[in-house]
Amino acid sequence: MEIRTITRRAQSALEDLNKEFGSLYTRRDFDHKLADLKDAEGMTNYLEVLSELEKMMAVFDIHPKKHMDNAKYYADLLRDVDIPEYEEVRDKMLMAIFKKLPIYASPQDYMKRMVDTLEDPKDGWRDDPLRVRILKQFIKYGDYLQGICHKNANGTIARDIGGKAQIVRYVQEKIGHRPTNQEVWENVDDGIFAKLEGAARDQLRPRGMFGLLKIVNDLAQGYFRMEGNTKRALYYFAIVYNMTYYIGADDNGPEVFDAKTDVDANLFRDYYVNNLMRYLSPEYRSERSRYQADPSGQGINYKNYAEMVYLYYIRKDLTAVEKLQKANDMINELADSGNGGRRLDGGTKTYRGLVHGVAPDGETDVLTVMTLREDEFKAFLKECYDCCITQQVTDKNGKVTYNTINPIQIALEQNTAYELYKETLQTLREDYEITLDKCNYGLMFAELDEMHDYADEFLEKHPDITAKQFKDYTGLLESFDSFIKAKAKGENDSEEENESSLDVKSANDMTRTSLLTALYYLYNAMLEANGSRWRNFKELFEDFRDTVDPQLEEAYYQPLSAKNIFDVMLVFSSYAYMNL
Amino acid sequence: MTYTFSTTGSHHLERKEGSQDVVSHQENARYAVITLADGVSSCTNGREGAEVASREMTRLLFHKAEHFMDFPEETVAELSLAHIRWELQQKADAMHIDVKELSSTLCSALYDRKTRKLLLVNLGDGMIITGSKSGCAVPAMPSDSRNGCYVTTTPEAEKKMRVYKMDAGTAETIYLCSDGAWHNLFERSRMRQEVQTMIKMKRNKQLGDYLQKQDPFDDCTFITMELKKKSERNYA
Repeated sequence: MEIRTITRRAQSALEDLNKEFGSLYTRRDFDHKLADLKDAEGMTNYLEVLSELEKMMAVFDIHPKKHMDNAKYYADLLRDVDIPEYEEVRDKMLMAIFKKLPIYASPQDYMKRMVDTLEDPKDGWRDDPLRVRILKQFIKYGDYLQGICHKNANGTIARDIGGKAQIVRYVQEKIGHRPTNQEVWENVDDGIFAKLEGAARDQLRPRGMFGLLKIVNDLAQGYFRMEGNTKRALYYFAIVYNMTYYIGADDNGPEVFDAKTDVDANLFRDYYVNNLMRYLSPEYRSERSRYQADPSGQGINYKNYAEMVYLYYIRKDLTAVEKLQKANDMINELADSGNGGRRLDGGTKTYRGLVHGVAPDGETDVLTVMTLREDEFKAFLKECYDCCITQQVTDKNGKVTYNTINPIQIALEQNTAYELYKETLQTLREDYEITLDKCNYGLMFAELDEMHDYADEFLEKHPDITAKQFKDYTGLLESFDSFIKAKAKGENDSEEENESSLDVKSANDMTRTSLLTALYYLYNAMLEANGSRWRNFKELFEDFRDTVDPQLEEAYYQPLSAKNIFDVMLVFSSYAYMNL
Repeated sequence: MTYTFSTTGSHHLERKEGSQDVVSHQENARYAVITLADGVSSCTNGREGAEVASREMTRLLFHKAEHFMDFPEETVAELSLAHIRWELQQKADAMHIDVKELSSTLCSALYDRKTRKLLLVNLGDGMIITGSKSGCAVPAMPSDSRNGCYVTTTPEAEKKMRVYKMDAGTAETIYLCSDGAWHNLFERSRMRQEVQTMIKMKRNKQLGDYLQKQDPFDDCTFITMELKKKSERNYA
């Protein structure tokens, strides 16, 4: 049996942090523990607190006499011991995260893992660059996504994904004659992507002349684009790589959850998340306004009819080209048909239940809609889903216009998550007198304003780190900081401020990062108010996880994960907050 | 009656290593036990650990069958893992190695011919399949290995060990499969049609030949037993 490398590396990183910070005590840690001991004198938990204190003392090679039953004895013993102050620990924290960075998987790492797993070894593309491998897959198995098209009003067919002509021309110039399909995937190479440099914006849109190249390049690099384009591309990817979607139906023999090919687990849980590692990419940093700052984190949107169509065909025993065409046709046929935007009660819970065979009251063994015949499935979507892609917009002068949206952008609202988010902010305000604008202290284990001044001193202390590495690291910390800081009132809307995860105006804007950040401020407030007994990183990580996981799961987000550097840094920041 | 198929994966053959999969079984007129343990490849002594885990699990379930059939699921998990861990620790001490080097998955089935009750135990990414005239079912799924599998030496693995008590019903055979085996029995997430037929028809040798032809990368093992009901006098 095997444990997948990315998971194993991330687990070991967390264990290392636990080990390092489980024993990295400051003078303040001891002061807190001594206070706890004093409070516990004469109480039943005295020995428990004493045992914790003795473990902390053992780290400094202090071994007190046994069974001393007053806190003063321990305080005297510790008085002259050289225990680090918090500032020294902060430097170590900064270094600890820095040293762990190579361990955290970037979106590119996750994409490479998927391609390594899903690609047919017989194709022999393993030594090609990642984006070339993906492009070849789209050409060979997806026919350049030619099946993604729509019918114009005059009855002509218009392709929705451009790019085939440019790719064929590139190969033709390379081999000197018009290539067959096979010759295209055998001869296309990384040079084709040079066409993206300097291309006009319109040429890079999905329908543009470099549409497919841009889609492939973004998938390989982990760049998430706006207006639902990335999510649609993820479904194309899932189809051309013959990925699976598990619902536990046994309509066609036993079905098993295959962690290596499952769409939800690999594309929506690991890859399409707010992965801070992308900030280490120079291209991403230079063009971040063109990319989606923070994917919702919810994964599959069960309320969206187009996503249901993709899932339905992903499960079918068809070729990739057939799946793409049939999904495209059904999505187009259903667009603007049906019930006029009416939705079923119960939101995501109800819609997810329809797919997984669970009734709203929790009863299982209900028939899943995924096993319906195509005509039945289409009729069902028409009846129960909002399929309105034409949306009426009224401007402030009362003028009505109609916009057509990407079907994948219907029903984006996350009401449960938004309610939890609002409740969290309300608790902060009512129970702790912390308003949203006070949730702006951000990152707590580094003074970002001082980081640039501190660079020389830091680099002198750590000669193995280059100035560029330090600069990249500072950039990542700044991005994280801007995500978790509330936008300050009255300031101009610069790009970075726009990335605040606490800038949630409606249920449509909700993301996992937003809820987790709000919970971070609430958790810190609770720690402060309760004079919490939590003292070291390991204890705090577990307590933080126990506090936030029920809320994340209720909102259909993935729980706190040691694989996600955002999550680890957030808890680390809480640890620093507690020690300040 | 049991049947076993096992072949070493090309991954281990290339490294001149043996198979890490180990099976065992024991039966009398009333009870039958089959077990499969898959040693963790990254451990230096995964095979030895799998031998201990497989042998001891079979022995424990067989000799204490009556009790284990009655124990609550949590107790089955706690007692069996405690016993196996103790044995693994003895082995580790004798070999002067860390007990973690003896890690393996564990998959076991205890069958009571009198009552036709089954007790299934699964820790890790093995799979348990039942076959009947009408088709196949998977009563014990492999665990989700994305976050790493719990194995015999993982702290608190008893909380992750899945224990199922069920009636054999119409099932006529039960199969314990290592991850290398079940990955080849399924096409993506669906069991292959030809595999379903072989299991329904109890063509175990054909199933083994089929797996052999797949040229498996990982070790590939299954052990199966027939779920026959014995007449009263056979176990009296």
